[in-house]
Amino acid sequence: MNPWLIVVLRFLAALGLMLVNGVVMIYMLRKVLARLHIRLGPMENGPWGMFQTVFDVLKLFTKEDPTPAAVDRPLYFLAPAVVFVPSLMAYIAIPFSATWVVADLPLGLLFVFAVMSMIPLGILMAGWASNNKWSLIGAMRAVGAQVTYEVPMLLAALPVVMMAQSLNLNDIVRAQHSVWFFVNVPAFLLFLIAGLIESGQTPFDLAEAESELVSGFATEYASMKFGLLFLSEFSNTFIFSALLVTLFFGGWQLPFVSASTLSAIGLFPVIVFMLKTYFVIFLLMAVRGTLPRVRVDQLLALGWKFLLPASLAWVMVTGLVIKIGQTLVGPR
Amino acid sequence: MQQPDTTAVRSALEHAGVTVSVEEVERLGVVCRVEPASVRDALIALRDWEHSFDFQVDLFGEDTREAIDVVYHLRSFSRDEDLFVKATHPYDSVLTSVWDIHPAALMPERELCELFGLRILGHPNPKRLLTTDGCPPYLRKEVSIRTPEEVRDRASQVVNVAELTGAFGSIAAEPAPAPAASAASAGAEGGPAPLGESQPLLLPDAIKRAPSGVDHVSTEHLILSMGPQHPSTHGVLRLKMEIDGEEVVSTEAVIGHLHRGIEKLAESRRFNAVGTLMDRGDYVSGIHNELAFALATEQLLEVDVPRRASWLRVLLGELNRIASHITWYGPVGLDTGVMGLFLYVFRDRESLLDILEDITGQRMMFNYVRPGGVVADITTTAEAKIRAFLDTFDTYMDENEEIIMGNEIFQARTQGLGVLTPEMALAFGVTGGNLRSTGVSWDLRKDRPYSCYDEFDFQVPVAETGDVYARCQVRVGEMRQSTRIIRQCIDGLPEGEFTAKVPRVLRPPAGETYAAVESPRGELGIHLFTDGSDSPYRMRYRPPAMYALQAGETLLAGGLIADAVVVMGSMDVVLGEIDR
Repeated sequence: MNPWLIVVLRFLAALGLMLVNGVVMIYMLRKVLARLHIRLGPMENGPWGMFQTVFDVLKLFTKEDPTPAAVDRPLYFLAPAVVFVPSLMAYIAIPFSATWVVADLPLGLLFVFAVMSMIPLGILMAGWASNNKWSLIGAMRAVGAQVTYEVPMLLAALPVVMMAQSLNLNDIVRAQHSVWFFVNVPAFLLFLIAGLIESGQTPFDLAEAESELVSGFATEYASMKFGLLFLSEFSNTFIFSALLVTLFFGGWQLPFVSASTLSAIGLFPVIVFMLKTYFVIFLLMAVRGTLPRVRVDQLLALGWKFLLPASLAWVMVTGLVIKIGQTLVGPR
Repeated sequence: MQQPDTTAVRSALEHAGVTVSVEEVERLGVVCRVEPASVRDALIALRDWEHSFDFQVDLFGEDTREAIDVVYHLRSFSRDEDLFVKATHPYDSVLTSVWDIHPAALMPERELCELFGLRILGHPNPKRLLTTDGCPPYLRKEVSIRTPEEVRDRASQVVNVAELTGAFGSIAAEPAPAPAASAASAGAEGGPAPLGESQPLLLPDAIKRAPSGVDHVSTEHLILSMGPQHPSTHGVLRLKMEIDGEEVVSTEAVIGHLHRGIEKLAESRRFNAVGTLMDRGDYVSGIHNELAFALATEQLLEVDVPRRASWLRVLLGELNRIASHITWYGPVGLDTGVMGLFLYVFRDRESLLDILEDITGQRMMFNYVRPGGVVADITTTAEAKIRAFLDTFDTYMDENEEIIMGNEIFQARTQGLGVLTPEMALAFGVTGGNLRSTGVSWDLRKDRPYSCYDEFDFQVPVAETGDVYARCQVRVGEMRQSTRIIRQCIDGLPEGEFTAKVPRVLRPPAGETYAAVESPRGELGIHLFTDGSDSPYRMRYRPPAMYALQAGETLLAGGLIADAVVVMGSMDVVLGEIDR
């Protein structure tokens, strides 16, 4: 086959996955929150309201797209794309199985972090270009929080890299064939907290705290531009959950089943990976439906004063343990 | 409640050099008449007197058809006495502000001046409060309510707004305190003066506080308009905030979006038809509003309410109190991001409204308590529903409390936030749960029992710290006490009539009285003037939430925007009542 065609097909697959994920996750969020809030959620369209989100997306596509008069037009139009594209790019490196990966990058983990760190730029563009005080405050909060938590998140992933001795996400998965890196509990917890904040979930959804900032940086957006901002937020949650599964819960592997056996059953590893990821997403949603929101100064204090030193210290401890292990057992 | 000693009051005032005539008005209490020029001296003398009348309950006016009577309602908590100071102002004269003696006068003075056509001197923020420029001073007797035909006629005319504004414009008197002075003092405090289109907010200098962490870096302050359509300002409240980054420098509450002129409308209604208006005041706790008006009318009519009617009033009042507190409790969760709590408490509110509907026929606008008694007896189905509600409510309350009050994030956000000191609360006229959260135990149900409240066994929850968390504790405690009262009510409801024999058209004798109830928001008072006709001559509705709002306004400075939402929510303001 033409290699260009393969590239295009793979890209389209990633895009399709992202869109489908968005639709499924919005429906899931509605149902999970409804369950937590003793209500029913969508019930009218399709069985158990399953098609509600599909119709909502169609509505967003066909809706009138008003542009406020005072916005900075180029930036205002560009911002949703700048938020959306990195989120889509991050899908490239995620290994859904040993072979199901758009591009098996040697520096996959670094690549995901690199593209994800572009998102605050887009959010700041959206907030600034909207020419709205709520948007601006929301954008400042989002950028403040994301910049604060990029570093601890990366540092929390480092112990895993040291244990797997690779930045390739598939290698990290294979390195967990006997024991999942979840055993490195502090690294897992640090990564979880940093990731919760990074993906803007309650209790850290300060950027669009609707009871304070109306809708944060997305206040002035409507129609599909809003849809893109919204979609990339759900996509970020998915990527974070997928990373969490990849780094700490053995990716597409199952315990006590060898990788070759798994791969022999066709799509089975992909299903395993998706189930694990959606389980993490479910837990995040349960947290979202229960906890109150922290205040912005508390959030930043937690980031700089606790999470950053703690993750640095843990990198050192893990390094020492690995070194001692190597000297005792001999290099692997 | 005792009546102050008239001779002692007279001698205290004359000692301060105030010419005064003190009289005891039947059904009201002791009234001191002073000259407008010596009002300030009189208030200072009474405040610093050993009997310490240092709490201003209310400030309002009355048109006597010859002049405007301005009434200052004072209270001494130490002696449990009330005192009324009245000053007669000619029409269109100038009122001297007393806000530096009683900060509680800040909003009522503005309201008084715009509604009676007076001008105000010495007020830090001499702007209209409830109405806009162009609105006539409608509480004067010469201004009559338009008929529907006139309204329709006027809709077809082109109204010249400039003309109207010229006729009834600003309430500020000359020499008005210049805004420049306020800006200069803001600059003197070290905070950078606001730039551009943002005019400095006219807040009293004493109230305006410098932001914590002033860094002498000249950054532009933003004027942020929070509300009236903001998701979490609890009704149509608009907070005009001057912010430095995310930090609030000063706040001004802009109200009046829901102003319907209930006080004026009441003057054109018969006594038993005012209840419908009262329901639309504080729409979350209608029973209490109706009760306050009914009590005032009964005091003038001198009817004895049957015991069963009083008990039913207590029962419905407490059910309504829980329904009202729940409507505050859930949004506190929303403000802090706990959406679940809101839906959990609305499960309870649903069953409460179901009960209220069963008894009164309405879910919110009850019109159930009327002068003389209540409209309908309790039904057997309602009794069963109340028992079923009580069975589940306590467990639900425990769960809810665990979800929000026990949560570490919530505690970290609310403890030590928006601290109201007892002195400040009393100075601003704050009553109810907000006052009790500061450690002052004052509950009209206990301290001045009305409607058989002295026959019930309950406690008054009091907290010490005065912060947002303390206000939550007090209100949650109150809900638990209310369930106790409701239990006693349905277990021991006395036999008898549910209403006294009162004539169809009520004509109380000419007079004046004050009746107050402990509504979920504090002391809800009705000051009623009658002239012997079948409708009130003047009805003053003391809105407790307005006094809470004045205090809340001052608590926001120095906090973050996120705190502003939580503090305002915790003060439990209901705009229907503030705007009337």
